[in-house]
Amino acid sequence: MLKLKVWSDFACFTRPENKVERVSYDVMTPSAARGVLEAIFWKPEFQWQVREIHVLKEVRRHSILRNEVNTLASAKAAQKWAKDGGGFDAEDDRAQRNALILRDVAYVICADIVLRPHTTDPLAKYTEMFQRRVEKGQAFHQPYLGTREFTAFFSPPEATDTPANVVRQLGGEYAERAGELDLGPMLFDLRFEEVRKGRVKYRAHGEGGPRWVQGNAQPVFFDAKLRHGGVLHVPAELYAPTGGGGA
Amino acid sequence: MILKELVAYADRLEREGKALPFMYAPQSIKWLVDIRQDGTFRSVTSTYAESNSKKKTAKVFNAPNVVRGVDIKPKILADKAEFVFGLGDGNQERLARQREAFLQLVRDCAAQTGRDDVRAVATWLSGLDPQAFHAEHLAKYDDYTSADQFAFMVDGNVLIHLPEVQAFWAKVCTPTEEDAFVAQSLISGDTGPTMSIEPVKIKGIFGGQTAGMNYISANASAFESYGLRSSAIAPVTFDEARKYATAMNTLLADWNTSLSVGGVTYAFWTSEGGIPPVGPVLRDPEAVEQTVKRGRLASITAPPKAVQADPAEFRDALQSIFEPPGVKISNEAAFFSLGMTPSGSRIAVRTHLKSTVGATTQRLAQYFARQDMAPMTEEHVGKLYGLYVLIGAMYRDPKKEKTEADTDALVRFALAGGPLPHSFLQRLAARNRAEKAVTRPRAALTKMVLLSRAKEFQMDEHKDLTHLDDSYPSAAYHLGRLLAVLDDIQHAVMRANTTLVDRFYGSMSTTPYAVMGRLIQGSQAHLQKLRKENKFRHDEKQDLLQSVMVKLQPRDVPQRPLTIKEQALFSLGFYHQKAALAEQMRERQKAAHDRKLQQASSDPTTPEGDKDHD
Repeated sequence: MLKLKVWSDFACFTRPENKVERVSYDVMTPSAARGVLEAIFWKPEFQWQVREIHVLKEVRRHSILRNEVNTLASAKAAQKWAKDGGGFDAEDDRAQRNALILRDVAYVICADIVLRPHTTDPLAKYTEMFQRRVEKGQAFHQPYLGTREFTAFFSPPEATDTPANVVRQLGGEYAERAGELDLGPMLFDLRFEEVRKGRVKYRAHGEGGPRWVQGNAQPVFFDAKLRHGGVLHVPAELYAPTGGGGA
Repeated sequence: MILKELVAYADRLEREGKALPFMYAPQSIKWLVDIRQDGTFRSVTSTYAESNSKKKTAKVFNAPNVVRGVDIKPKILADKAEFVFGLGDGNQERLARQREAFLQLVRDCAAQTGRDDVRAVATWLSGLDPQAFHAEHLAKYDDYTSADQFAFMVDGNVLIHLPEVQAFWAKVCTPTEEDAFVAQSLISGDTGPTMSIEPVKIKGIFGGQTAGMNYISANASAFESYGLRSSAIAPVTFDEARKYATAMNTLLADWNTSLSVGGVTYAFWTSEGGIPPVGPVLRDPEAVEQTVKRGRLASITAPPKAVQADPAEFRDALQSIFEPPGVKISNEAAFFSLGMTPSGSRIAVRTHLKSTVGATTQRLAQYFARQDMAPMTEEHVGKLYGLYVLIGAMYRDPKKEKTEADTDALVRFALAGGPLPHSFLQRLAARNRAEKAVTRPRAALTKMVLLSRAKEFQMDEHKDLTHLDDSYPSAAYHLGRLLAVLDDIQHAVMRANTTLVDRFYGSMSTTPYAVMGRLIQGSQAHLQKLRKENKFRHDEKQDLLQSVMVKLQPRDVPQRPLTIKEQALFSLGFYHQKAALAEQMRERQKAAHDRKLQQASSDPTTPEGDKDHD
């Protein structure tokens, strides 16, 4: 299992039910962890499967008010601006939104590289590439924790990086005695299904190389539980038959 | 997590028979139309009555509820005049359609329930001339408007209360599964049809829309993703959505399970047992104060001011308030708190908290014990402050400020502990400078912030900063005391229009090195005058000044502006010294009063004595 330590001053792993006036999950979601890993290293030949997330620091929530915009940036809109000779004026599209985010966070992500069927090279090639990149601090793009404003820093974990007792902090002594804290349903990832006239267009990777397809994306949730002080275990069966793990 | 717990609470209400019928909500219904069993009209009566505040209000009924957009959606047997009679100032064609839709719904209800009383209403409505009805029965009332709600009675029975009508309405409101978005619900984890729009609006958020607000909504493209629109961004089944909104409405409608202060609205609930009235206790802790005082008076003979605040004492007081006769609170039950503010038609979550009832009681006890502060007057003895007073102490006019963040921080501190923000100290110091005074709530809050960050500020845990402490190891604290003593000396000599504190609190509390020498020099003239007028008082004040000055070695007085922690300690030193002087004065006055009474009782020839004899 590969391990990566990430940390940041702020993080926001947005709950879907509070997506506008954001509220963060207390712990990093598997899909956010996958996003960090893919920012550092990804190839169409494999898929990241997050196994565990260790919470290294106590959960600190922080409420902020931010200026956001109402319109989604899209290539189509940009083409229209170019054609009209104008651009996007954020002032006209402004909205102030409250966000309940996390402060001063650090995690260790434990994940596996799982090769796709069309891969011909051995697993060791990719794991070693990943480890070299982490040691050098290389990334395809700067990783972030939840939203792009919250830049993440990364390094190989050290022996002293052990989980903080978040189970007690969030669940009190009863949870600590039980050795487990139920965080409720947490977003696992988006599951993509290829459908004609689907809602989204995405790039699928397979034996014949990458191709653009249409399909639907459905959010998948799992019962998140913290154990061993502050370790979130991601059930392996979530990666089973229908894929999962994002596009 | 929050929604899951709210759904669990709604299930609990249903199990205990306290839940409202499906898609019912408390609503003001102003008019009751009474129909005979044969479908003829009997009367129309107003439910409008004077309330305690002498303001006229319509009676509140648990009535059918629906979220309406531009589409025409009537409510069964209780709706506005626009729907019931097609009366109103709007588009006549639309009014006719609204009336027709209402009538059709009543006919369907009569057919499906088979009830004669519902059929009687349908019969009467079918043959009604709305304009003539209005002219004859409604026009004479000045307070009638077409937005008023009407409900129907037959033979004294209000029809919306009938179980058959409620069952029919539940069936009408349940969406068909054909067009629904099928996905995994984020509350239960089950896959099935999900809601397209929240079926019940949440009401009771301070500053929010009176018609109600949404918890889950996405009305702009920036909030949508992966092609999922509107509420599909967070798939929840229709029934779960109804349950969490109903549970929230139940909590917010009850004074004991909600709190609205400083722009933030809170809801409190538990996983089992009674819900402790945390909101009222935080809003106005008078009950806690009285219980603590009663406890103290029963157990001790010394005056309350001599007793140090003990969290256990407050915990016992809270438990006696939390468990009135007939209510069983489980200390091991989970305790939930949710703080919300409005944002347009949407709810913004400011804070959410999960703890146990027992742990929350402990924290609250600690919070109240931390408020203990030396009294400046008799009324201050044992006085506790509500949230609004504490927050308001940091502002000139809290009504004109955005106090949400501060309120939230203080509520979090009261319920979960942890540190209070640094910004509190800055605001408190600024208010002290602006008002040139340290009020008791400000002193109490300053102490609370310092002790909540004891480790960071290197505070001595054995010194709780409640009363004057001669040996406190901080020059800033004694500088505050010095200003109070110098002011007292000036006051003993003259009644100045602008006192020493008025002129020097600001500079002394920030840059004492620059003004301290000047102030001490000035006080010598006051002492000289006092020595000539009243030797006893001069010696007393001289001793007091000396006792402060011995704590202020020149090397201890910083030659730089005081840090925010030092400014806080300065204000506490100033307050404590003032409070000690005030107490001394009270004791002196009491002694003088006692002497006078003694003299009067021992000498019957004095006028007072004569009066008593009369």
